[in-house]
Amino acid sequence: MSSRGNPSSTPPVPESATAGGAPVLPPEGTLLTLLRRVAGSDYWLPLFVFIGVAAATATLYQALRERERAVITMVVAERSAKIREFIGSKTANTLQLLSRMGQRWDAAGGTPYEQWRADTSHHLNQLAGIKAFEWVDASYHVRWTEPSAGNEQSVGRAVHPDAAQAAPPHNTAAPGGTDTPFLDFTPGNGTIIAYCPLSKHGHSDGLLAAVLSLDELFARIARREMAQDFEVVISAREQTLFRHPLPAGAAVASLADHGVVEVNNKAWRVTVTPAAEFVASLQTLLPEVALGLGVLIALLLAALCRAELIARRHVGALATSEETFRSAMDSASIGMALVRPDGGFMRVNPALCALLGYQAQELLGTDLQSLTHPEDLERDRQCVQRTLAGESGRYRLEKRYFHSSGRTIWTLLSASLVRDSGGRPRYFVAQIQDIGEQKEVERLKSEFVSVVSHELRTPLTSVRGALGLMAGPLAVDLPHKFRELLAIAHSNCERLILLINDILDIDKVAAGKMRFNMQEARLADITRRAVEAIQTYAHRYQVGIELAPLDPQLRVTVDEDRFVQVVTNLLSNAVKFSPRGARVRVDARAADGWVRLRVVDRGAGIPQEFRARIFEKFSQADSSSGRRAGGTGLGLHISRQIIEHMQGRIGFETQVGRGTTFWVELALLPARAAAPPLPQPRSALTGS
Amino acid sequence: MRTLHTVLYVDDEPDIRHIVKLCLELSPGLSVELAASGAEALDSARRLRPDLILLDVMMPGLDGAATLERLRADPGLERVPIAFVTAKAMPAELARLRALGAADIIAKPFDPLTLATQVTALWERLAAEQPA
Repeated sequence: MSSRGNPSSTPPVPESATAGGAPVLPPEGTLLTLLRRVAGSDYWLPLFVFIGVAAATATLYQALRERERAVITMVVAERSAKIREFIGSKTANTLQLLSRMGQRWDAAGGTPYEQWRADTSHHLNQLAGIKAFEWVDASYHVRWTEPSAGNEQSVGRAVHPDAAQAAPPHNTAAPGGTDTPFLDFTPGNGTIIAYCPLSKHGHSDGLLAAVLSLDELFARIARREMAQDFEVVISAREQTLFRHPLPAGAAVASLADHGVVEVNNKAWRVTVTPAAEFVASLQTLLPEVALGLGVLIALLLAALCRAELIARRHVGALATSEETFRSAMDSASIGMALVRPDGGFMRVNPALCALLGYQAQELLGTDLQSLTHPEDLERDRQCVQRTLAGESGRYRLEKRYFHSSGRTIWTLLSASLVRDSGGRPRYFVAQIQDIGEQKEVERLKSEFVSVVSHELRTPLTSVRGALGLMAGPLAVDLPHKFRELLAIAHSNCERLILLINDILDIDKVAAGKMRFNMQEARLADITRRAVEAIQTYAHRYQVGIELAPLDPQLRVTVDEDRFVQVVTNLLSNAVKFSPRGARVRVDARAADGWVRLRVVDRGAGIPQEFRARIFEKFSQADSSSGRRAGGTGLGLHISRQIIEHMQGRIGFETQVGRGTTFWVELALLPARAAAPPLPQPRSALTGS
Repeated sequence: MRTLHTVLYVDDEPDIRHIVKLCLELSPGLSVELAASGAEALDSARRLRPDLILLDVMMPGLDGAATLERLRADPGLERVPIAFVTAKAMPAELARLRALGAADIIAKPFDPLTLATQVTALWERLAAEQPA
């Protein structure tokens, strides 16, 4: 057991947390509780504000996106129209060329081969996209080809019957002998063949065919700036004639523009699809910025809304709180006041007015100092200064005020300091309780104790003196039985004196009136005083006291008389509970700024069941043995109060049947130096 | 060092006066004179010139404190050491008595067998503190 355990210092446990031995849960489940909390809170309106603004923002975002898409669609359509126009123009020019060649054939009544060859070679060199010319005779067999090199196998080839059938009958030729060329596709190699019917002297003279490469023809188109960022696909009769792919990246099919180009009365379907990169270049961050700003504004508005709600609720709660406080203050049975840090009254309640005998307006025009008894001013000022300095949030003080009639009133002042959010002192909440009756009771009790003390001690002085003399030096002249009876009387007189002294000490401790004259002292000297004081007592019990040599450098700060009282008490206990002929040892050892003084006996030891309450009032291990040994059960309680008041510690170690060691620990002073701050307790001293 | 010869004990309680005389006279060579009041103490002190005066505190008429003041004011007696013997051992009372200039305070009830030793030790201490 150690005296350091202090049950009274255990922090109070909130009742709600320990009722029934388990935490008290809300009656509903967690989710339901949460919903109720939300429903009753300041969240709903801000939530609606947020949702409304966020929805408007989403609509705006969508509108901006649609507008942007419309712009892109318009740009794609413009580009697509230009591409279609260009395709139509190019193919028309080529077909017109072929038609003009046919008209010249008709006008000349046929063309000699060399002239035909020169004419076609000229066009092959001048016009990109025309790969070859052929003359198909009236029997639909190829007769001439240009260039002839590499096309020798084509000479004599029969023209596909479809092409021959596709050619309009000669008699349907346009007036002036001009026939419209017609087209034939050559699947798989990206070419088409344009046929122009020929006539000579009004009779069919076969067909003039031009082999056209669409890849070359439209590659030139694709290289133009207009189609650089687009995929262009030309198809007819469900067949792709030409594809201009994107150099890189993907196309945005959803923005593709579909159009038709009429080429020689045939519908070519032209699909222009913008590249994603091109689309991205036309897009802006405006919708995203608008969305982000909108969400931010929604959050801000929701937060502002909630802050406003909370502020309103707080204002309401504050008003309620102020009203409650005012009501409580006005109806309080003890005096209450709000006091500025400089002591001026800010608000007083009727009970305080009644206590001090002033009207409220009179008090509000003065301060606490003006009404305070001069002898209490300094203590009050110190308490206020310590509280303002932040050493504590409140203080209690017994002090006197002057009533308006001039008489003095004893009060208990409890003041709590209220600070603002910045930590600056605002005002004190002061509770002033009339303790005049309590003070009078204390005075009467003190007077009673004083009188009883004197009135008991006076006759006891005579009794003790007479018995002591008879039982001592005069006892040799008395019969044996008389000496025994005198010894009994003398012993019980000593018990009575001890009891009176202890009761007086207990009264002093309880009233906080035990005075301590703290001085620097040598441990060896004051311990020797205690040992000398107990020698006669020990001799009576036939127990020896062995004082080990103590280091004369060990110095402590104590009230010498009180310290001697404690050591004497420990020694008298050790003597009482030691067998006859035994020795009680007193020694000391120092470590780390502390010294432990030990009183070691070889008695019966302390029973386990008694150890926990050994320092309590009127505690004795065995009442019969206590009476036999002459104890009051107050000595250890008083000793602990004294030692703790001197910033020391007291404790014991015991073994039943082997003895007990009581110890006292005190902070050591450096030799011949001012007292330093007390060091912290050291476990090494308690564990031995 | 001068030996303690004469002690004047002042107390209104006759039993205690008698006990104190018996206790102190256990010490060989010590003469004890008694007085029953403050006024009587002043007369006895002037007449006997004791080495040491022991004063009870609570006495009718001149109490211990008033008697001490009179003795201190009396030429020839102002240097005689005075100790109080009191049953009123409350802290405030003890402090008051010390402030009056008492050489020591002996609490009642005292130990009859050690009282003489206690008084002798006080005398020796006072003698040691006085300049040679």
